Amino acid sequence: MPELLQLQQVSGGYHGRTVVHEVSLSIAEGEAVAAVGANGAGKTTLLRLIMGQLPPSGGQVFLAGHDLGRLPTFERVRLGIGYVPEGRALFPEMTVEENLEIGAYRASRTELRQRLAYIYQIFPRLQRLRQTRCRLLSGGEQQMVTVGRALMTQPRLLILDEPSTGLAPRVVGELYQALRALHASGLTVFVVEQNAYAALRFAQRGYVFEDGHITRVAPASELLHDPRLVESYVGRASPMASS
Amino acid sequence: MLQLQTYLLLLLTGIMWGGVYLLMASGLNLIYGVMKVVNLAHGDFIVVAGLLAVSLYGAFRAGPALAIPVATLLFLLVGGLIYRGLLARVETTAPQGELRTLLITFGLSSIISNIALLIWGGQYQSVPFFQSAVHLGALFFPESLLVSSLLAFALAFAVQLWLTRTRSGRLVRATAQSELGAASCGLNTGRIRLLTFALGAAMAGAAGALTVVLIPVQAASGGFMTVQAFTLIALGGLGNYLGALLAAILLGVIEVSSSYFLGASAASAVIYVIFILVLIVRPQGLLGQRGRI
Amino acid sequence: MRQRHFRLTFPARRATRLFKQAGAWLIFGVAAVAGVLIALFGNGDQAQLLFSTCLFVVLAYAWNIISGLSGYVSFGQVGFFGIGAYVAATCQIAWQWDWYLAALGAVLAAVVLALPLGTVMLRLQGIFFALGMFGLSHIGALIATSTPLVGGSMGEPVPIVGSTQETALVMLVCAVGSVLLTAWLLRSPLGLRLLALRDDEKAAEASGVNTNASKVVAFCLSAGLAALAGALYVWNVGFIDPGSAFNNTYELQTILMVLFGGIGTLWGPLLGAVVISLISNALWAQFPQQQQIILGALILIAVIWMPGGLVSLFQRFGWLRRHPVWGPPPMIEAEAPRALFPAAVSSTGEPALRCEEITRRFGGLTALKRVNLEARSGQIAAVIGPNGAGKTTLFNLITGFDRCNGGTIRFGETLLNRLAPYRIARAGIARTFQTCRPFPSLTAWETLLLPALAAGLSKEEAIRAATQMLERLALREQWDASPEGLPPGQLRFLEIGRALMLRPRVLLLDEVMAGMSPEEIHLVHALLREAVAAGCAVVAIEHVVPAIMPIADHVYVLDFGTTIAQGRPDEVLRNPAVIEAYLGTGEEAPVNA
Repeated sequence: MPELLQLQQVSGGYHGRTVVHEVSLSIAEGEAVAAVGANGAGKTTLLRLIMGQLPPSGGQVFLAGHDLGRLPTFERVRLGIGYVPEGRALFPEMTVEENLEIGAYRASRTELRQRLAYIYQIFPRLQRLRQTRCRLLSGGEQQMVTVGRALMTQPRLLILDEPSTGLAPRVVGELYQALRALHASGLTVFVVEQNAYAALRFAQRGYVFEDGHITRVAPASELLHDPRLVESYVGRASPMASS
Repeated sequence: MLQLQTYLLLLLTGIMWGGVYLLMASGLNLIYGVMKVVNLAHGDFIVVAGLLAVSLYGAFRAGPALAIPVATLLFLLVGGLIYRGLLARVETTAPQGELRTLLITFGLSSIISNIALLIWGGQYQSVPFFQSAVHLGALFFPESLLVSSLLAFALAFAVQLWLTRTRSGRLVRATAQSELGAASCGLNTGRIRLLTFALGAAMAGAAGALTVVLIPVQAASGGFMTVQAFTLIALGGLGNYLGALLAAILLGVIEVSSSYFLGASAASAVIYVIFILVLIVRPQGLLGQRGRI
Repeated sequence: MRQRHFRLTFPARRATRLFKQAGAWLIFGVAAVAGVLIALFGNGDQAQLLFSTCLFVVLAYAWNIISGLSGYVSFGQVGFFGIGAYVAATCQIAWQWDWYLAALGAVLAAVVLALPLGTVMLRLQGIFFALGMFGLSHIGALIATSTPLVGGSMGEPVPIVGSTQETALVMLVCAVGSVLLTAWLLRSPLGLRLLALRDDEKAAEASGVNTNASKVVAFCLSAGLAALAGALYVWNVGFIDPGSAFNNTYELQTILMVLFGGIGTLWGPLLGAVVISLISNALWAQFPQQQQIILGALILIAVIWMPGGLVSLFQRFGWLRRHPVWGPPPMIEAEAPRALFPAAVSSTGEPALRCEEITRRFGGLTALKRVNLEARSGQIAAVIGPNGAGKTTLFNLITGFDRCNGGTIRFGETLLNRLAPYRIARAGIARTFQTCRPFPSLTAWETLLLPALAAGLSKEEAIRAATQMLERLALREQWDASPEGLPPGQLRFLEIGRALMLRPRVLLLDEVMAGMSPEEIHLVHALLREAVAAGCAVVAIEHVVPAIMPIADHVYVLDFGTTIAQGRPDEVLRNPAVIEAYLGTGEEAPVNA
């Protein structure tokens, strides 16, 4: 399978502090991949590096073989990366439909209508809420709008940053059900999650993130049943055991 | 009966003045709403546009019909250049970014007002258009006020329509509400900020060229106008369109009645007092979250 | 080993530093003497130039104290210049006071007025404060215009008694005085507090600094200096009118000077005021009309291309740097008893801090719902839970940065619910922040001194305690480093040290061990054990659960704002609900292969 997204030894951080250390990973066309890890492991920073929100201190990011260099975020979106940022970044004073329309602001009117219909098919609840201001939506509904808005850009690759944060378990289930349907229709999905079970049940492959490094890569089902995954979050033995 | 008539006159005149103030503040409001920058040279844009209209009148006996489009286009260009040349060089989110942009517009204000002083001198000037009085029933209104406020409300309404009903207006609002969200939709937010600053400057230009028929200006009037406009948008809630409309009417009525009852110089003190009270008591504005662009 | 290395390098470093410091003072002294000579033997024009330069030096330092050192940029300090001018003029015209009495009266009047004004206005932040002050100075001008006492809008002559040379000499003395005042401030605890609150008001409060009081004091000092300039200005020109007393150009020039020289520094305002005064004097002679335009352009240049000002050019070579307050840390005999933690205050196991049924809602979202928590003296309680569980909100409520919608927080017998954060900190509840909130303007040494002084230690005690803490954190050699230069682990240590310097009875740690190496975690554990042995109650939020479990006595697990489990660490970690909260349940759908 051809590689859609490839990272070669990407490093980066804030104020001279490196948070992500020489991370290399690759995602093939049509794959569903998860990166899981505890808080502060550098997952969000990695996505900011991929999206050009943060200049890397080293390494390269390739999309379908092209070096993205220092392209700004919006150019990367135009090249086909759909981005669901942490904290959602909705337009709170606009309606659901207006939010979605901005995602496809360059599309023609008929094109726009088709894409909207597609989103409402994936998230039927949004159709009922289309005239509601996003500020008034629940957390789960807001997350659906963000995913829908990213899909309106017609991405080849959808990147999600902690989509389950602050959502009740049932809502997380609904969200991943939708992602599963999207993946089944051929979309490449890369999700970064603290909620490892949800993400790994969805994904085919998983990367485990610890302290800005990738410590493991394995098929998701393998990671799911690996007690060491639980350890990387909660721990069983004293960390002093080694020292 | 006469009392009632006076109050009605004060109220209507106040509302009309409110419209004029709204026009003079809406460019500042737009720029703040999108960029979170208070353009301290805003008043100077208005003054220069007004003085330009005076010169156009002097040279060609041209009225606002010519002056407004000329000033609008000129300041569209000037605003774009200022953004490209100066403001784009400072990142607003960096430490002290807000302060630095403020200081840039502060320096700009000094440059512009002093250039205006060199060109037009320090005396108050006006354009003698719409000088008759209009009767509405038993009430008299200066024609200049009536025309200005009608145009002002129309323009404010048009801007509101543009922001909420058109695609480009929505892109501007989207950038105002979440820059990250806009970028993740593929919007070139830098270009939208440029457009916004240019448009805000153009709105100041249009306001200046129109209101000079009503308010005589001199080169140094800009500072006061900036404060007046900022008072209005602070009262309405920075970057809030609906709030600004309410605040404009409120300020207009307060100003007209306080200058009627207390005299003109007290009226301008009242503006400053309200300004400071608003900052202290209700920094989020009259309406708070509702009506943000 | 480290000690010997230290002794070898230290004197040399100190000598160069002293030379660089003394060099600046030497040049300053020579300049001051030159000023005196000009005032004594120069002609009228030269004396007048000296006067106006020194006037701007005083105004620049006045502005620098509030806008530079405290970070509250004001667009209306010229208002106090105007007030000073009017009070002095009134004293001289109406009551025939001598000039120096009038000046004194002006300063007092400005300070008395600044006290309530500052208390109200300094609640405003950023642009709101700057423009609010702008509005206030306009109100001042309007009042001056309509007041019949001295001249109204037309102005009135003020009797001139002194010669230009005499006024220049007095102004020079005031300028030197304002430099000395700032130098003293920068070496005083007040200066430390101002720099800290400029960097991070929240972190300063958490270090026990009464930020409101410090800001108001700075505001009053600034107002007094500006008023002094105004009073002497009237004395020099012999005329008072609203247009020149409340002259916005002065505000503009002052701001330009400070920015050009270097805002928030000791020498920046002086450099800026002298250089710009001389430039604008030359401009005035050559281009009187364009002077303001050129000054405005200079502001643009200074802001965009030289954000650190002239001083930053010197600082690149180690000149004109601020000398750390009360540094360097003294050598303490190795045998000296370690008094990091004062004697145990309460017996082990006593609840020191009790949160009962506390609830916090943000709009529709309930961040914390009837949460109970107890911190016992001599024990470590861990608070764990996934993102967004409400852990940090809990700390913010305890330390007064946020207020509960319901429930009570008690510290011994004291109810904390309504107490200001700095009072809570001084009472003995110290905290760290999830993302480090250092004071970039302070050295590591000063970062530790600040809370020690806030906790009520004397200068000697504070120096001693801070020195010991530096040793304990292995930061002695970096005592004069800026936090920005410290690696993340040491930055965390410094933040823990800052909290410990408050001599806390309750220590709240927010994810201090995230991203630390095992060795660093080891050091934190040792510190915490010491604190606990001295009777301190520790509450630690941790995301890296393995880092805290070995030393925790009690664990609280939060999820969606409620306590889902609590108890001994081994019990809690066996609880399936806890594992689920961390890793999520996913859904009932089949596993994707």
